[in-house]
Amino acid sequence: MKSGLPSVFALAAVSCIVAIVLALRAGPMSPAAATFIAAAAPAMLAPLFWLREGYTRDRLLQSALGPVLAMGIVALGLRIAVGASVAPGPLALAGLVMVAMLTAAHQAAALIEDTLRRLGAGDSPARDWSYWAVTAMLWLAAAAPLWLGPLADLFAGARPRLPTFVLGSSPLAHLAAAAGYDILRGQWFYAHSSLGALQVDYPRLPLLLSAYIAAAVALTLLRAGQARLLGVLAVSVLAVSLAGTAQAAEPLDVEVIPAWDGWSRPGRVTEVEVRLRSQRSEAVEVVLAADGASVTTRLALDAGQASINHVPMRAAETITTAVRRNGKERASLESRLSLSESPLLAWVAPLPVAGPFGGFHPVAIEPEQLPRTAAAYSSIDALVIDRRLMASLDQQQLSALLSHVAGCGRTIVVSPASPADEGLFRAAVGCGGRGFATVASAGEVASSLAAIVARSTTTPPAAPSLATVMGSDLRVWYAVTALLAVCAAAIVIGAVFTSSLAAAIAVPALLATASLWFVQARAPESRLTVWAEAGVGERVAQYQGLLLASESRRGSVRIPVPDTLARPQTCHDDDRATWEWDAAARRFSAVQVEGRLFGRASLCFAGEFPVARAAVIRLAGDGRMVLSNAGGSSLPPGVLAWHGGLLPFAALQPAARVTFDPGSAARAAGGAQGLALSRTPLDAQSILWPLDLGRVQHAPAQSQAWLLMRIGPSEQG
Amino acid sequence: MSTRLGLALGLGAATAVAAWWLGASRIAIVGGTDAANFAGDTLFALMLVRALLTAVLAPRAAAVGGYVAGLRLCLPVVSVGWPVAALAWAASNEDLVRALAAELGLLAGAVLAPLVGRALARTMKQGPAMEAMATGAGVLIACGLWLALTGLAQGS
Repeated sequence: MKSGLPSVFALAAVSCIVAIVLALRAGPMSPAAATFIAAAAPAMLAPLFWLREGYTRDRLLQSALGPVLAMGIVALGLRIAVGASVAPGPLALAGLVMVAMLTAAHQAAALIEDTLRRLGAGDSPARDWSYWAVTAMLWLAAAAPLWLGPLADLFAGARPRLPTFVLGSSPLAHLAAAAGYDILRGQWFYAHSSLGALQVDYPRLPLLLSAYIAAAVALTLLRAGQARLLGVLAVSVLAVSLAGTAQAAEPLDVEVIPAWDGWSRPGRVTEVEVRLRSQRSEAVEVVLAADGASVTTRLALDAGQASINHVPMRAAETITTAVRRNGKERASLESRLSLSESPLLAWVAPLPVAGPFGGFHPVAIEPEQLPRTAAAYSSIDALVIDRRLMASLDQQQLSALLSHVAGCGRTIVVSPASPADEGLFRAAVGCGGRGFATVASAGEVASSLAAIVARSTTTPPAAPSLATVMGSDLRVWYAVTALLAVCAAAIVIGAVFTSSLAAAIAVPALLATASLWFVQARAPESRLTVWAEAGVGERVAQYQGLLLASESRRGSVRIPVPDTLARPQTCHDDDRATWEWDAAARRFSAVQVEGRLFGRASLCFAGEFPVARAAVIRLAGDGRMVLSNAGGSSLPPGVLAWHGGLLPFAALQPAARVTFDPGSAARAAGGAQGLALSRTPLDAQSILWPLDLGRVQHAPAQSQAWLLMRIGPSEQG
Repeated sequence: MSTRLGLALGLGAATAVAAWWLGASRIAIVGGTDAANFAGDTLFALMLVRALLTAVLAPRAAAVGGYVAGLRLCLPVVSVGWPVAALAWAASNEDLVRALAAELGLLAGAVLAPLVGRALARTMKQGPAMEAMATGAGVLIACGLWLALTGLAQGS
């Protein structure tokens, strides 16, 4: 035991210096932060100071208890050097966690050491490997919230418990939980880890201690070759877990509130507010079902705290909400919606509804009842809102409202004080403001609404927004991930065959060179989307094009410009580009941009082309629709967008017709169909056709083009 | 054995940094934002992690096993990160000369850091006290490096 004292005091001295440096850099510290640093510094450095001698009980005691003594000295040092006061109770708890953690780590090191010796390693290398392996694992696990933060962020939508798992795998988080310190909201972690912005639960102290003690006992038994006792331990842990699961029958409060005071229209999208409150922290699955369609979402509930979630879903007369935990239903309830046959007008103003509104059914709602998702605005056909109420909307409501206005949703703002001031809406309003109006009094709403309804709203979407049709291009990302995996595998295989220092330097150097050559030699991978639109009876379609090139090369990248497409330009004003002009063809033939790995260049196009297609649509008596080819040439196969659904049809010869049943409408199957639905007014119909870009030279292999043509009961609209 | 241990430790550190970079870059690609800043941060993090690891490892390894043992442990820690560093540079706005200078600095550090352990071994008797001193010296050098490098990064 005596031989270990220098190590303990060295650990205490070094930890003290490190803690003081950290404290000085952090500035004024709360007692919780000081307690955490006093515990974390010796805990993370302790394995470095373990004795390099054979396993004995003394060594175990010293490895686990020595750092606690160091922790006390660090707490004292912090108090003297920077005046940071440490809370004794939480410090004791952190010390308890530290002892359990270091005992488990020490037993892991002893097991690795024994295993390596059995495999033929000498005493000294086996000890070095075991110590460094455990130290590396401890540090990697401690830093997990940093380096696994982005991956937890990426997959948190599909697996809401993942951020909690990542946090729970960090020994630093364990010490923080014991010290009562919110590590993720600490200055440094908050700036460097994306976990701080996600919903996470800290591990609970009894669970932590039990897990560490179980790990230490399991490792000791494994080392002693006590398989039977290990089995008994595993069964005990399982029984305790099952007992914990059985306690899950605690009450769960569920409340479901549909948007628009429960009003919507058949086939439209509405929003449902789901409020949950559980007496314990748990992960639940909420399933909302209506008319055969369902929406599933996974939620992590904090004990005693309400979880409020807004979920868009297709409107139906009855929406069933089921809350499940581990596949078992914990709660279920039904909500009823009122589906209106008439167009709906939402009235959000502290004034009485001033109708009539020419066929619109008014629904008066409070500002706090406005939906948080833009999709839910499809439930209504017009919105009247008092400008004075705008300040009471939260960020999500405001964002959804602005999306509705930007998407050409009919909106009338009642602004008695300054009728000409459109405020926030000025920048957001879409379709040239044809669906938007500002009035001074409620009495003017009816006439203003009639004027808006009479206007047509046809303009193609801006080219950069066509990126939503394409989706993300992750081909280069996958290639780099695979490349790095291959490099790691090559290094591991090389290390198996040789321990030569020259090889340990040459192999990574060669791999780095080869990786660089691989990305530098790859040509940019481009994708092109062209979107054209024509109004009812129009003979010229307006189009916007977007070419996205995913770069992998650092340096100058040359992108061929597809011909035929008009007015090519970089989509962002600040993009520096060098264009190549083909004097003979009188067009830009290519553009050179500065590229880099994971970089993206975008070119935008805009123009017009003539449309020879003509179609009319009229209602059949039984609620069905009849589409007729009113032109002189046949119509190619396409998809009719109507009432939020899509109805495919085969080629139509001149004067031929086809009848549609609204019941057989399908949902959008891709980005283009989704855009077609969002671009088709709810009381109108459009046809979406794919266009052939075969004649466009230099068009990338991944190209798509679409024509969305509005149609009406006559060619004149 | 030291070379393989150095490779394993360096690979662990490089893998963690690469996981962060790939995750952050994917978020940037999906969100349509610039991934170059993450690549620059990756280059810096990779340099910092290898510098700290070298500083912590070298004195103790050299004090116990001699200068060559320290060298065999530290050089692979630096070299194993090169594939990640090369790709991160390709994705960043960092200057090539600066990136190469950082790698040369790391190599120089890996060559010089074991000298600290060797000097301790010459002045003290082998034993727990010397090992503790060597480890303490390594941690303090790492602490100083961290202060210097993060200070430089904030200043530039």
